[in-house]
Amino acid sequence: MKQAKLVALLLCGIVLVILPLLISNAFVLHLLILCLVYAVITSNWDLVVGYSGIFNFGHLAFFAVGAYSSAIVAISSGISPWWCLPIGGGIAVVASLVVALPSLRLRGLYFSLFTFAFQQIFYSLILINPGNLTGGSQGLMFIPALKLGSIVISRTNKFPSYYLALAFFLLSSIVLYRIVRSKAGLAFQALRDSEEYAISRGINPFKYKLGAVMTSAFFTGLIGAFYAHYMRIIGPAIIGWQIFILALAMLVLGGLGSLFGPMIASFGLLFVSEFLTSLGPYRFIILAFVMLFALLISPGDIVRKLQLATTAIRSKLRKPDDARMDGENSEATPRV
Amino acid sequence: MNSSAALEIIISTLALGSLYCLMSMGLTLTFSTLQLFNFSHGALMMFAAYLGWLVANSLGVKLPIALLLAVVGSFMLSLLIEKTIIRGLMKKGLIEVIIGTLAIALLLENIVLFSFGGRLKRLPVLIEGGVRIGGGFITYNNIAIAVISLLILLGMFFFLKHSKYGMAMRAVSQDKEASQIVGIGIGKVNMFVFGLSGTLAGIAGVFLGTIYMMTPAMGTEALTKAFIICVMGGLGNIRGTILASYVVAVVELTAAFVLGIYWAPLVLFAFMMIVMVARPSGLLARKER
Repeated sequence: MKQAKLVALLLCGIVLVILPLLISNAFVLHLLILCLVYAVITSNWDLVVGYSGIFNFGHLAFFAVGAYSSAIVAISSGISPWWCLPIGGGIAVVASLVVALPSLRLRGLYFSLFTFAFQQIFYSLILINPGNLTGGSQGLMFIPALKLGSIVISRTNKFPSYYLALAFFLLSSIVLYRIVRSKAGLAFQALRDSEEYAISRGINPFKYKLGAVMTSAFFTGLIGAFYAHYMRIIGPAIIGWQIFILALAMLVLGGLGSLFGPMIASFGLLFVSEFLTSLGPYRFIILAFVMLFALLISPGDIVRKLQLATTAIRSKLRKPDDARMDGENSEATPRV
Repeated sequence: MNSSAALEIIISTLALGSLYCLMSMGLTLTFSTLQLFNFSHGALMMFAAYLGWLVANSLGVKLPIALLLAVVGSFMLSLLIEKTIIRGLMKKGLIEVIIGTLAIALLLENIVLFSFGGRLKRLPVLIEGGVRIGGGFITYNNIAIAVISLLILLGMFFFLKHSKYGMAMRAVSQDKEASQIVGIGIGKVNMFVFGLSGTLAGIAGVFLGTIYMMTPAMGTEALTKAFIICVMGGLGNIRGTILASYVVAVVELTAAFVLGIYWAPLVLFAFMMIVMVARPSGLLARKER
């Protein structure tokens, strides 16, 4: 059964690798790149919200921190944009420390509201434009593009950009997958399910929660930096209201605590949302209805339900011992 | 800061704080009984303001009647939202409710944008003119709004304290199960609280429409203010909310005066985060029972 999963994952990977060879439409390719960016954002968000039970509502701020810091460093210092990518990720980690250190001890909803406030602070900082760094409401323009030899990796050159985005996506996904299956991942889930019990078994809640937030901030900042150099123009809208709702919808409709759910939802929702663009002003009205409908009809976690169903079928086919173990592992979504 | 500027800030604080109190009280009420943070509260305010504009311009009735009709419309709308959406989402979990109310806000905002357009609009003021105090100028409209807000809040307290529904609400916010045992219908109370919160949002919305320019996005800013106030006062804590309204008003006006208008939201959020870390249950923390 493990092999079947591996084969399915490999198939997904192969499809993602050969997809741009089949698609010649530049706009569709652009959307696919954005899908990959969103998939990285939401799967990292899922590590924090779904696996660790930390309701961080300021996750998009890390994306913006990565994008802006990388762009500012590249514009003002003139060093190669390749170095700016890890710098963007690193500064996002610093930002995550700034927000998480004072707030991780707050209870449930208070933590969400605190992190949401952090995101709003960052939004107004961009608008205030201190020291003429962020470009205010107009945004930053002429961000240097990434270059590999003579190949320019930016909006004007979709093909290599797609593969770079894919590389970041795979890197983030593999690391996330390893973390979730590791001892640390188990500790995250234990803290989520019963904090008191986890503490009594010797898990340091503060350390592990901080680790989860920092990991998610790094990859989100990294992909933010990539986004800045890919688009070559960024504005405060990247942490605006509507993007926030869209990303949150991807996370919730994809299913918390499943990593792949949010990734799939990123692809689905972004294409639905772009498809609706042709409907003009009705777009967000329909999107809101779709979200409400989806929330009311299903509890979201479609992927989790599928997992539970396959586990149930598998447990009938297997020795009782294994089945019990498997059932424990697929124990998932946090409920608050 | 000289004394006339200080006087101006004090009077503006009193006027602004009362309006803020009205804006955030609905959120506090819904949180104290339903335990949900309603992200569509700001959009409801915006919707009521536009409704008032529509009624005043199309039906040709007097302004107070138009505003009253808008408030009634906002009440009905919030009842509808509770019945069709919130009730179902409450069974699913915290994050579903949050994203659901965000989706409602998105919906209302875009319906208004679609039917009214994005151009700035303004409701006529309640009373023309103003008075010069110290170095500043305070409009009669602002004073009237502050007085009416305080009267409405007083009425609400009286209602919460003495009426049957008010007592039921307080009972539910203290202990859900116990109030069910003594025969209070939770569903009815929830619906009522949501309606009351919508009414308060409607009143705040039409007042905002007479003071500032109306845009479909005005709800976001109003919600942000109400959000800061509710968190600072302690979620669901009515007295804390009142205190926090005035604290926020004074901090905002001082920050705008000293640093400039663009810094005000940042200073407010930073202040809120400090309050949260220092006093996680709000400025007036309730005693543990």
